[in-house]
Amino acid sequence: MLENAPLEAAASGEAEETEVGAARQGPDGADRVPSYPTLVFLELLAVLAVTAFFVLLSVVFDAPLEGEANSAFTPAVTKAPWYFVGLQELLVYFDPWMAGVVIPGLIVLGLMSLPFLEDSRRTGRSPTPRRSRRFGNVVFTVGLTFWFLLILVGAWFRGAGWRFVTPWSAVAAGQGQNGAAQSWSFSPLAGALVVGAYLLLVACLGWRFRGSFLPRMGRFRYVWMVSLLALMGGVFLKIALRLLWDVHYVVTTPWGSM
Amino acid sequence: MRKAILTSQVWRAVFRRPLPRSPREQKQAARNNFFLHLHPATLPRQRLRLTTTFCMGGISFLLFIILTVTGLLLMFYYRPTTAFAYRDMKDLEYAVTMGQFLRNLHRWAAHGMVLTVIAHMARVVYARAYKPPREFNWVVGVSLLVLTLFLSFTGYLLPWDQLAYWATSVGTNMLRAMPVLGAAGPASLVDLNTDVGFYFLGGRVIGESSLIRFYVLHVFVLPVVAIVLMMVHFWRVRKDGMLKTPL
Ligand code: HEM
Repeated sequence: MLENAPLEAAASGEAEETEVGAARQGPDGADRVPSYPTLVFLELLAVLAVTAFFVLLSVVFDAPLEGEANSAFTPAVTKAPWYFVGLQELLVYFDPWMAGVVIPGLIVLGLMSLPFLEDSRRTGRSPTPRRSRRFGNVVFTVGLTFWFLLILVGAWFRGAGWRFVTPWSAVAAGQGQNGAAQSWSFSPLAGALVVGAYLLLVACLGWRFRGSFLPRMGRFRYVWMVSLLALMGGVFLKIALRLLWDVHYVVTTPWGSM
Repeated sequence: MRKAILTSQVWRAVFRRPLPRSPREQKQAARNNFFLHLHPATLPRQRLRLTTTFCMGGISFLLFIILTVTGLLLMFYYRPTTAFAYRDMKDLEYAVTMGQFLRNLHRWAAHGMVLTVIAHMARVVYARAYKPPREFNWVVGVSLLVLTLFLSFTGYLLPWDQLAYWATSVGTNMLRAMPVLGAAGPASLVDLNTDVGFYFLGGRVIGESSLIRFYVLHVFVLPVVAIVLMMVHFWRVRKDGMLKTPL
């Protein structure tokens, strides 16, 4: 799946432009096969294989079922299903309104806007330059890897009270990452300075690298893309601050802190 | 006998033609059969390769079908009330023939679908298959991803065990923290009786009314939306000029 080198190589060929027409005429009549039975047969094989796999899985492993729900008894640790554990792990570093609402919301919006960040109708359907293609791959791969890393940590390295544990020792190691007690927050002034410096840095980088993007994307899309990247970088930075120096909040306001 | 059946009016009313043999008949088969007409009549041989799609979109769809079938069967045994939900799980385990297997299949297929949908998205990205004219289908796809996650989330509460209850409370607490619309969120304009969490749970805490809400979302609302979006998704794959080539 992640093996994209061959895809890259193939996609950079000239044939790119003919993709729509190709479906109807075909580059070469002789090289076309009928859907029925060739493709349908392959699909049948895939269906059988996948079904067999899941049937086998269900014979061997039972779905979990714990004691009946009891609002009076809070378990030592509650883990969401694995695909949400990433968000849960983010709760260590962010308040719920960031970890559960703002960040996932922006990830979804960012994903949705992806095709509009790479191509502009104004410039037609020119193939994406190689360099920005690589850039896109890197950003997507980093994001996806990071997402699964969060899941990994949340699923296997968190014990009672969401404290850091190693899967091979059930005993909690180190002190609670969650414990607000030993963590500290920036003063409002320091927080404003840090955030201001970060935004300035983002703006400078955005200005520095506008060359290969701005003409193709236009101002609005470029600003949106830089904002999304800034959000991604911000999340990484906040996590680093927390892990390295136990910073709880960078900005503290009466309405919400992060 | 065989001939009598194959030439009977009933058989021919259902299957208009005999099994296709010539290339021409094969093309017609794909076009005239309801279940096959998702396919183009012919396609470049190159696209049959596994590495074109890694089958991830198709497997997501297959798992959705498996989930629909097993889900329907589970509905025969499951009652979405706090008095019965957990008991019905136990019945599935001990009393219903193949009940545990049914539950397992539904559960593992659900996990599998989340995985294959994410893998499908990744392959679309690396193949640059979201580029024009496929931008819209990409957006439909992202909506399907969100729906898949919501389907899993709403299904997670239904067994009404400790795992379900507390995992769901983690999720709904996040909802409560939504800025402006959540009672515990920044700049909140609402209280515990009017925030999004309340409407979602049908109360201040997870209880009877949350269970029925999650159930209705899980077995009706979200699947219907997902089915409609999938129809649009498949339709657009065809209309956008089939799969992106070359890959
Ligand atoms: C319920 C979930 C989904 C199902 C059942 C589904 C199914 C499919 C199928 C069967 C195809 C045909 C080719 C292939 O298998 O790759 C396809 C193509 C496509 N899907 Fe999905 N999909 C789903 C979710 C998504 C998601 C989450 C995205 C992106 C975020 C997406 C974006 C696309 C795009 C852009 C194409 C066209 C690819 C091309 O032309 O090469 N889909 N989908």
